[in-house]
Amino acid sequence: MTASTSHSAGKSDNQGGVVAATVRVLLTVIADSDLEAALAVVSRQVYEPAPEIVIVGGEPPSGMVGYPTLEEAIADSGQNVDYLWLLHSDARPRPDALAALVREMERNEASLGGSKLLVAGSRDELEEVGSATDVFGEPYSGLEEGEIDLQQYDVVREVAFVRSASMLARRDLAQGLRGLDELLPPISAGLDFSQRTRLAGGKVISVPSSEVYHQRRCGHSARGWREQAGRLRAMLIAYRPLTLLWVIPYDILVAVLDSIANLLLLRWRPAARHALSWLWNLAHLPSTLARRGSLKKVRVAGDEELFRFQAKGSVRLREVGSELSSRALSVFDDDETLSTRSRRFLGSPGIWGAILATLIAVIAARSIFFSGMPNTGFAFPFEAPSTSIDRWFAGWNRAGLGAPNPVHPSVITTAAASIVAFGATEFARTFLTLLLSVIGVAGMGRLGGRLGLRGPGRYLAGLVLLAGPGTALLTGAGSWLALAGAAVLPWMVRAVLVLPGADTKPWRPLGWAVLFGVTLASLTPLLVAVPLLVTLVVPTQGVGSTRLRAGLAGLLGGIAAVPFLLGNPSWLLDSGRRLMPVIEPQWPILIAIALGLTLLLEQPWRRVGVVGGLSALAALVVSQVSIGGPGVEEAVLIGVSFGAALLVAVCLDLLSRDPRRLAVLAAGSVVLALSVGPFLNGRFGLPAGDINDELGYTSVLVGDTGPGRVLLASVDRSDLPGESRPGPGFWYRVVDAAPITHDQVWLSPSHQGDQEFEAVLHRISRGDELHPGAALAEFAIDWVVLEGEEFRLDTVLATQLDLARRMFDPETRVFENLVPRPLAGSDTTMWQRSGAGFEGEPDTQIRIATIYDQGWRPAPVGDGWSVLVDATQGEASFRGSLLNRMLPVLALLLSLAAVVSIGYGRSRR
Amino acid sequence: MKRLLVVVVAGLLVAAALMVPTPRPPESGPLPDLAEPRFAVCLVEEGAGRSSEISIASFDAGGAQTDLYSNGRLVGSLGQTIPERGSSVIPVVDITAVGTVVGMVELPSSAGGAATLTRGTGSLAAEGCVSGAPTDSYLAGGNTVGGGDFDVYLMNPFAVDAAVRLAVSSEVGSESNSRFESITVLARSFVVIEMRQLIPGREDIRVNVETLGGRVVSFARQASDGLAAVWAGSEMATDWYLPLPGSGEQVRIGSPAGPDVEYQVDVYGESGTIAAVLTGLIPANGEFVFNPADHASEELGPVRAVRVITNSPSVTTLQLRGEGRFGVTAGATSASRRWVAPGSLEAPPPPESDGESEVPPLPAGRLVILNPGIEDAFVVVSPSGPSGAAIELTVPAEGVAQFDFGTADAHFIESDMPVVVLWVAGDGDALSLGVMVPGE
Repeated sequence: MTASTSHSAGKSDNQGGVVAATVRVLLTVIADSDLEAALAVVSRQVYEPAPEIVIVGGEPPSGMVGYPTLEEAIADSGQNVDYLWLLHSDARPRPDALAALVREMERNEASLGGSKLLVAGSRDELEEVGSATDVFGEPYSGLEEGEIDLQQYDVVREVAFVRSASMLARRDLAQGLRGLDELLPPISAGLDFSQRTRLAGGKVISVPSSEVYHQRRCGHSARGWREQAGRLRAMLIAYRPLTLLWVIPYDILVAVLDSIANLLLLRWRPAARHALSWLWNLAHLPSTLARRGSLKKVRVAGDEELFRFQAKGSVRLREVGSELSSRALSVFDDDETLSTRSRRFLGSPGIWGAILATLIAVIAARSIFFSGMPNTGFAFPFEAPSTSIDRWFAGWNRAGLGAPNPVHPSVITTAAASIVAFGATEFARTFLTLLLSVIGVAGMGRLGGRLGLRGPGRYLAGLVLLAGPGTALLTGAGSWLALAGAAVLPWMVRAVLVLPGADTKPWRPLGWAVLFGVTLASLTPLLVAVPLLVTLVVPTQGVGSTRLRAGLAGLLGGIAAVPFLLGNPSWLLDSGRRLMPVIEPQWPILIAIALGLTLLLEQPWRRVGVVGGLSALAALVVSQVSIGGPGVEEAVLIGVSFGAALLVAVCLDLLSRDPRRLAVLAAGSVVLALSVGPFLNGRFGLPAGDINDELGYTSVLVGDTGPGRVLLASVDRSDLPGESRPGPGFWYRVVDAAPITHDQVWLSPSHQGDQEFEAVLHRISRGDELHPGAALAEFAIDWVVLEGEEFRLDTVLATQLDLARRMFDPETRVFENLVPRPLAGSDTTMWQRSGAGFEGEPDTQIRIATIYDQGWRPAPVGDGWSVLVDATQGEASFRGSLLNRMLPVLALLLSLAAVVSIGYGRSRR
Repeated sequence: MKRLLVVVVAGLLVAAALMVPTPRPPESGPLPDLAEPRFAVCLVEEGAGRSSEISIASFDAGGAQTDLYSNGRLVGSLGQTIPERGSSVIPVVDITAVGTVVGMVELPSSAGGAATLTRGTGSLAAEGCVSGAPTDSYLAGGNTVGGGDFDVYLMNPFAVDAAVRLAVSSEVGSESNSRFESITVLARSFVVIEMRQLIPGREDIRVNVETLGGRVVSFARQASDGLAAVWAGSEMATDWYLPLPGSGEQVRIGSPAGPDVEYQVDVYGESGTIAAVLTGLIPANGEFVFNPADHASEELGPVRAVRVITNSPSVTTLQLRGEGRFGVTAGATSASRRWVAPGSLEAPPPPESDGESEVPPLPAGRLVILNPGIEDAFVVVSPSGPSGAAIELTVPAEGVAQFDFGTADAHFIESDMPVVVLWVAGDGDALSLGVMVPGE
């Protein structure tokens, strides 16, 4: 059988002399729809001969014929019937809908036709006028959401498929194809039937003149997992094996990308839908294969016939990509000029400021593009995400000689970024760094917008935030976290500065505040207090309590940093650990001048300028006072830049010929220009260098004892990676064999082992140790690297017996320990790192050259400062205290609650 | 009003920012003083007609480790426990027989020292092992005339490769040879520069060993007429003390580097001291040589010691040459209250008695003790080994005392005043400065 069989026999006159075909209406009962009303509407069809109406899938009214399934109804249709009108009981066709369908079907010699579906109860809102699909069957109607029918689509055309809500099919074809697939929901059933019709040689057309109002009770959304599963089944039935060979992997790839993209948009359902869709199809594979067999019998066309009506690429990916880009652009586009395609776009100064600032940021990242991220100072690669997560949940802190004290909370951020990058940690770091610059610029712009600024300055001020007088000092010392903290800060401040009436649901701003609080606390913990301080100085506009609550909620996010701060109080208190960079004296003067000039402006510029200027000056003074540890120093210096950025945002907000404005503009421009200077070094102000590359031999040239540790020493603290300890006449620090990773940046408080190590260094530097290698081997030191100018250790290491000089690097003095001992092992066994723990061949007991703590397992025993563990299981790991384990869990739960509250608030909107 | 307040607050903040003193960056911990070295580097020769023994002496008890290195490898090792004021004598052949090697002796404490005695056919050479490793050192007194062999040993027992250059000068002026430049001494190895091959026919060779990287300890070995002497390179100083063993001495004042050096020589006789018996100017890379015996007089008596003072760093070397005797050693740069004189000597058999009078036993060696101070020094000499009880003697102010000893492994010298000690084998067959012990 083919679909080209002629059907002119038995036709009668209809509508002005046209010979009408005989039609049988198969009215499918849809739950919750009014069957009587449907029958009434169908019976009013202006069509001769009056079509016979049968009920499918429901109890027929008295006197009417009913069938339990559509397949049976189709099969029972007699030879006198030309067409079957498959109609849902939630469809309300216009009186001429059937006649139009029959007429156009006849005229176009089509086998299957679909009506134009309009949303019932709307002002002619279009639901469907025939659809194209992509290769995966994803419908693509081309209609805008809420698009009104203005007859713009009123042309009969061939389409990929028509909906089953109202479709007219040739009876013989429907019987040959055995009707709709009963397992499929409405849309995919229509798709499946349309595809099979086309493969059987039939023509599928959309008939816009046949208008049907659709109540959409049959499940109008194409997004449900059943519909998705149905589309997959339709694909598996229709395509030939050769096509399936590439379509299936392609579909899986699209599913993965779609899931990830939706997860980025905080949607988990698409991933679940994809999974369920595949599971359902696996469960129904036998029936799918049976249907493929049935189709084979009537198939006359190849897959190319389907491809003719398909859109290129993936509709789903296009949609989600469009949404992502729209969201990304909306970060800069609080006026929504882009999303609304407004003509004001080019005239929007905010957009121009954002573009200019982003361009400068791109230029500032040129070396990162070409050479990758620097590995020096306080900027180092991320550890594997699983290991970072382990450390975050009270795992072992391996910095220095190791310690039970929790690691810096930023490891959870690095882990999250690495997971998103599928474990490509270096890509994650590079991408995150580039993203941070955009986030910082956008954040400052959006914050400025919330403060009433509309000009380009608020985005350009983002550069001052990232590279201003305070942040530049930190990034200049290699602090990647300062860059990250500065970038997130304006978003959190913005989240706290709730606009009056902007959000009636209190949990949404609270959710944002908590989420940004957790993020900020994980990067630069003390900055979480800044938004709260801002709420106290910025006028409340009647929402003081809401802002205060949001500020406190943000402070609650600080819980992410509590384990680290409790375990490292000196990070907050010990000024000896500070970097002590000095802010150039021109900065307070420049800021004061700009502040003074903003006093000449009117509100709201004056208010924002005063807040920014005074904040910057106050933070600047505090930064010069040697109180508090590096955590305080970091927050205060970023605070200087933040205040300066607010000031610059005001200064550059309005471009005008007003002399006052010009003066303010000049002052702001000077601050901006001086800030951007160091930022343009190609690495966002981070110093150049790759110490991991320089120390590459430490992980390559390993003997029987495996990779151990490296002792780095210099008289100049800045020569050393991360934090260092003061030694006898020099600075030193211990790192694991390369690569040095982000988690090792900050050292833990000194433990017994650290003190013993310092005593050894003291002996060595006195020249009182003829076998320094043996002494250092106790601490698993395999290499000694002396940086910078020559100093005491150079002298004493020239006359010793077991540290051999190696000429690996002309810039440093490298000594290899000739008598190394393993980091973890026994006399017979050497264990290696495994995540945050160790593993190796089972033995009775092994020594781990790390600080003893009872959290080690199994069966930890102190061996002096180091630890012995039972080695019979072949692995050793560490579990921190209950408090240190629970607080990260609490932070995580808090973040999840914040996401839920944001999502809930969003959906309610 | 509000604006005025802002201006005032901003002004105060700017003033505070400019006036608050810049915080001092954190500093590293204080640099500790360098400890006295607890090791000594020795030139060890075993085989080819020579045999060495290493003597170790220590005021403090503890473990001593002797390692022998050659060609980058440890070729022999011996660990021992030294009792308080104890000593040990190690025949190198008991450890290994490998020819010339670098000896590294780890001492129980810095209050000790080591020395090597190398016996050849008819020759005896002794030299204290060198504690520490100077950056530059100076060797004087070599010659390559006739059958004279003058070899410079650059010993590197350490784990770090060393590079040195030699500034060699002689009576013809500065010597130029590519072999003197950029000499690499690998870790745990040594290099021998045979001067006879490079600059034959020189009567007076002086070598300044300049370190370019790492550290070496330099020794010189002079052999001629069947006699041999070994001495270590010295660091430069401006004050030198040279106790004299008896006769046939020659003193060399060298100016290895830098400007011309003005010198003054004081002599200590049996009856007193004469200051500035010699003064003059030594040109850069030059040398001044004199015989102390030339300054003996009736008033002074024989010259027993010499002090050399220079206005810039120099090196003074004592050379002893006589019938069947040959020894060279550098002077002492300062006096000390404690010395050890490691060196195992056995007293020769006593001459046959004529039956009428008792013939005193011949000494094995002699200690020459100079007291350069202006007060008498009360000195206690404690031999280690079978030679018996401690000897007490008084060394007069600005005077010299000699003490002959019998069979002994080492001697410990303690004084209430700073003194300088010279160890002499036999009748001057070999000589070596004692090892100064720092502190009390």
